[in-house]
Amino acid sequence: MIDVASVADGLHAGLVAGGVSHFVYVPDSVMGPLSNHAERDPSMTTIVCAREDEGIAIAAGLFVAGKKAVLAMEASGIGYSALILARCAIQRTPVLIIASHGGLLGETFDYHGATIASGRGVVTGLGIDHVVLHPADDAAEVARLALETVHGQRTHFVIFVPPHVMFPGKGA
Amino acid sequence: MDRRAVVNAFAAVRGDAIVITGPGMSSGMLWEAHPHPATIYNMDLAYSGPMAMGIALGAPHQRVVSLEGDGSRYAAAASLGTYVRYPLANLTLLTLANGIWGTGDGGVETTIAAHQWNALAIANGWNPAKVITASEAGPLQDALRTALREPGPWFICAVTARSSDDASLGPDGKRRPRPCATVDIVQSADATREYLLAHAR
Repeated sequence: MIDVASVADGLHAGLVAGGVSHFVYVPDSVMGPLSNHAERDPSMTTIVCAREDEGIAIAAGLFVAGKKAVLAMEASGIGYSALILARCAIQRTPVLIIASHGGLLGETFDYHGATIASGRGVVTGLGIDHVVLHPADDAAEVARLALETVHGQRTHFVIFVPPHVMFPGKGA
Repeated sequence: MDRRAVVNAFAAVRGDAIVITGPGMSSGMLWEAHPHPATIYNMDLAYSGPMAMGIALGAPHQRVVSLEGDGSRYAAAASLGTYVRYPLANLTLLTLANGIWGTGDGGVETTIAAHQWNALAIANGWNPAKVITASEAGPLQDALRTALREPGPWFICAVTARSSDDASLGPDGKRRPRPCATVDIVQSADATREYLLAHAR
């Protein structure tokens, strides 16, 4: 087991263990601690995108070029991305997304309702396998194993990270 | 200059550049003119450019070109800023500006005129020296040669006849069969990846 102090530490450690070379993201408050890890990591090239679907296309291009990328975004970004996710699925380009929200527990604010509905709607509609991270989970192993599945199967996977998991004891 | 003239001008100078074409007839035209294995055809609307950027980022020794129409490019207008945030020397965006959204009967005009693409790119931070508009095949080919040789990123706007079907007419004025790549999107993505892995440095 990788020794980690927080969920963001764990996710980052799992991505490093899985050989991620590029971290593609749209800034998001819940994903902020993870993005900050990536920005400080000299082994990862970070790319900040204007839109989440654009980021998925960039990550797909990186795969075509032989690199291993991961995406971080709010769940609403998955809602924007049905078309490019479908294209990537059909052409067997693997995609791993770590997305804030998307769970069913601990979602305090009504304005995240559409965020959650669109993100879950797309993963359900496209049949994308996903897990919701829980406080007791080994985040590093979840990230590392998700990478193994995504690249072994050439498929898609989403790890949803609710605010209460990233920030225990706080809302977001 | 019609779309086929643009595609042919590009095909003549492309060499071994990796290409992702956007949706529409230009994909089939490129297949007919220059069926290079490192080509992903008919990328879905708005994603030719970003996917080309990903390849350019991952394979910095390869020239990478996104070829797509003005409708698809405009659908990804926000990406114009991302290309500036990460200026990749090996990336070229070739925009085929025929002034219409070429689906259906092709009668919906774009709101951005062909000659305004340079302003849009520059407003997003592109280096004006690397933003070129060409409406004739000769200058277009000169610009493409430069873009495929000199550090970019390059934004090249090829202005074409304002019609959805001009390029599908043969010299006799009769309609030609719609050009279509005969590799499917799975094959073309895999072939491009295999090409890049085989030529990795």
